[in-house]
Amino acid sequence: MITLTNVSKRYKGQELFHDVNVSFEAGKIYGITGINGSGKSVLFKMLCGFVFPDEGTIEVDGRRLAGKNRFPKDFGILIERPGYIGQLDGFSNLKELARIQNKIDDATIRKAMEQVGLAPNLTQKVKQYSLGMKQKLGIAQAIMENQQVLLLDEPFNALDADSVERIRTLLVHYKQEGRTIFLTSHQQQDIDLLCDEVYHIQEGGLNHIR
Amino acid sequence: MVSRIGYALAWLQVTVFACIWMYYDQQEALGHGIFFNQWDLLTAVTMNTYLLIYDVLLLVLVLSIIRIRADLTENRLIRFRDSRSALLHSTGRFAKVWGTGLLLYGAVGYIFTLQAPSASVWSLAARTEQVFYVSKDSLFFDLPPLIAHLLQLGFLFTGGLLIHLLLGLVYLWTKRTKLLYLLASLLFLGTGLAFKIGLPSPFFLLSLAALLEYQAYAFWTGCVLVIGAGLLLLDRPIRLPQSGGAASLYLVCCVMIFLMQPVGQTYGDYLIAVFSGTASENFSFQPYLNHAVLFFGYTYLLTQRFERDVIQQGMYHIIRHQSLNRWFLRQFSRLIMTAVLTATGLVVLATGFAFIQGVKWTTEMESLLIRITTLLYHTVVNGSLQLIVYGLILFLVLYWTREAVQGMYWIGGAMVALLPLVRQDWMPVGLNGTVRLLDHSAVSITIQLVLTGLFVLTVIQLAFRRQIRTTY
Amino acid sequence: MQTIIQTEFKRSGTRRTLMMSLLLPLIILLQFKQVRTGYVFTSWQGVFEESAGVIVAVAFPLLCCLVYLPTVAREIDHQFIRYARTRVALGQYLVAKGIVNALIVFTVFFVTMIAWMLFLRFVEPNLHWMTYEQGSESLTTFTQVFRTDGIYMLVYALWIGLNAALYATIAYLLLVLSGNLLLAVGLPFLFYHLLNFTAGLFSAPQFSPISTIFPFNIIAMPLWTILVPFSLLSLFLFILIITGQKRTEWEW
Repeated sequence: MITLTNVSKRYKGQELFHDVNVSFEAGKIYGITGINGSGKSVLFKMLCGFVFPDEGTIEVDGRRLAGKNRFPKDFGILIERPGYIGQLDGFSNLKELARIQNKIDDATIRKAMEQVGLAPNLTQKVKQYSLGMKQKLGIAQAIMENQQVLLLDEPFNALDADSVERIRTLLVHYKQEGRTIFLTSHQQQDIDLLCDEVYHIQEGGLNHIR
Repeated sequence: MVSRIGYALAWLQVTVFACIWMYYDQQEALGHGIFFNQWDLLTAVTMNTYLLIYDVLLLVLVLSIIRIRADLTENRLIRFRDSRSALLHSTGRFAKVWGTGLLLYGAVGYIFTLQAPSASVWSLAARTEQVFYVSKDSLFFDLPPLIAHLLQLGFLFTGGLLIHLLLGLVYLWTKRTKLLYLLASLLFLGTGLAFKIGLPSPFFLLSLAALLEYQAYAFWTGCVLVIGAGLLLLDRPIRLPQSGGAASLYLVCCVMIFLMQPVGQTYGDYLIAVFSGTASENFSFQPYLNHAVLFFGYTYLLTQRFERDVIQQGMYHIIRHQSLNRWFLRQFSRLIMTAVLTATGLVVLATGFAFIQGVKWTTEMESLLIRITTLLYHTVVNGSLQLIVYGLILFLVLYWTREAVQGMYWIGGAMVALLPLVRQDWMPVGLNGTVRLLDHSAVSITIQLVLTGLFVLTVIQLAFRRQIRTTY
Repeated sequence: MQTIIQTEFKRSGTRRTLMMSLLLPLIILLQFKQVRTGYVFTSWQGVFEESAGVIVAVAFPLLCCLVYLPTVAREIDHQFIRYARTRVALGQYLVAKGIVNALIVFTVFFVTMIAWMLFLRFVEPNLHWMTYEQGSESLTTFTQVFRTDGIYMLVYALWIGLNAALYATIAYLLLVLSGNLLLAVGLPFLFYHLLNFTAGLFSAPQFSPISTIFPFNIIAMPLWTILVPFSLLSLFLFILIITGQKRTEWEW
């Protein structure tokens, strides 16, 4: 469903990808690994249209990401730091995002918060959240609208053990529902436990490890 | 026991000085053949300027510090619901000591004045020339002397309480004893200095006669309000302003502009003055600031909105719209709506205040030779377009830089661009000022603003073709 | 603490800080270029007032914040301070940065102003760039008191530097307390212009910040008037310092 064809990308003078050809199928969890600065976040940004490959094409469900189809449909993303409005509480933050497509109601938002381990009625402002809570909020916005493809850049950062377990269970459940999930993590355990296939970024290539 | 002796000695020294002063005043009056009575002499006790500044004030400060150090320790504070209760309790204890002392002081002082001729009214000397410590024009002479002195003592009592509250607030807030001493020293020294150079000071909290003479009502009211606000805000954390506060402040400033216009103008002249803006020739600072508040105030509020939608949650908005243009269209439509509403709202509000100010409802104008319809067109339509242009440039700046503070720099830069040394005709800032109608038609300004808007939209489209910056 | 301050000074010597420091003289030079022709002056003080007044006066709070504050903001944003905390006491670190911020801004403004005044007074007459008319320049709040050129230059440059340091320190504290650069830069700027606006509306321009820091647009006022907005700002600074000292948790 996602195909990279002859994709090359230089970023700040460094060649991250050189002539990469790879296809990702639907309904699997893909792990993307690599050393710091290897290009994991850049790959995710290319997949969701924020960044263009220098050469080559990226197709999602047969539609090339370019021009009017620059951004793919139905993607839930968590890239770099979670984006939030500090002066609002968690629910209001998610509500602001949900209003855009108007696909879900308040109950669904609350359910998403509960699923990631956040209390929906918490009146605390997000700027007062701990790092782990902010991370959970970021995951909640990525999953709440039933997005079929999830790009999660280090989703387990700052999460306690219970929360990690909760999110892992959630991701496996989504995979069984047929969603496609891409995730990065520096914890080998996360990769080993969750991922059906693993790709490693090294020396300009996206190498299929498992 | 020791503290009671201390209090007694403190009051005793004040009384002694008051009586010494009274004696010398009496001798001076007798020497000049002035006929006075006991009420005149009593002013040396209750209204003696130098005694109040250099002795009574010092006494208040010392008593207050002693009370604060005893009542507002951590061990005592823990017994109260909150700091405010503790401070009020301490003030109550201070009031007891202070009030008792004042009463005794007044009574003893009065006893000393009984050597003077007795009367039930002020003496003629007091009313016809400056005698003792009350000027001949003082409102005090309209009151019976007993009431006047009691009022003064009451005022002195209240003044002491206010000073104690002030010191207590500072101590509770900083929890620094040295700061408390420093503040007390500054109050004492500052009062003497301020009195010499004619500035308001805590002396006006202690002397009702002086307050009336110098009409320092604003100062006294200000002190009460500040102390009241301090009491209310005690125990509350300091919160930095949020957008609701900024919007209210904006509204208040706009209303101030509408209210502070000269009366007796025509409606057209009133609008011209409010929305005048600036020109290179005959630049005037106040209209410049008025324009900055009215239109850059809106831009600042917009910065806060864009900070949320473009920077903080921008990435997640874009992915949901699946198109930069769809996302931008939403922002743009909101911009158009708010700009039109703001420009129209400002004119409507201005009209309302023009009605309150009692302007002449005529189509004639003295400042500009234009029709009222042209003026309204310019203020509403060109005002809206100008706000839209400001908003579009702001959007572009924030989208490109991803730093909300750049919006502030843009506003600062735009304000600089309005200055006569910098201003050029082609710059799309301040074009909606009514002063522009001197040299340009409203329609030409509309065309200029529309073209500018289209230009900025084109640049935004070009920016959209590039990669989206997500790195902070 | 001395070591931390010295380290911070060394760290602040970046290209960016240098470029931002040059912004103020650049603006003054550009203004000077504009006023060289078409304006009538009777002395170097008039040239100074026109070239170092207008734009600098309007953008003053922003210029104070541009020099060093973005560096601090970047450190907060990139969570540098979080990792510096394990190496140095946070309180000392923040105080040191505040002192460095104030000193750098003070130095930039003081040196620029006094250098420009010295140039106009002593160097420009040899270059003959300006033509002066006969007459005397109207007195300002400072020139009415400090009649000797040397004393006036020193006092006025100190006054500008002090105010610049004050605005920069308030902005720094707001940044450290809120973590929001927009608020840190915006609030002093808003205060500055709102107070200008309000003082003008109530016909008391002598108490406006712009007329007390750059007293060139009003007639000479008693010197004590310059202390009114300065005192308000100092009080606000004091409140911010106490708020910072009372805070026990620091998380941006």
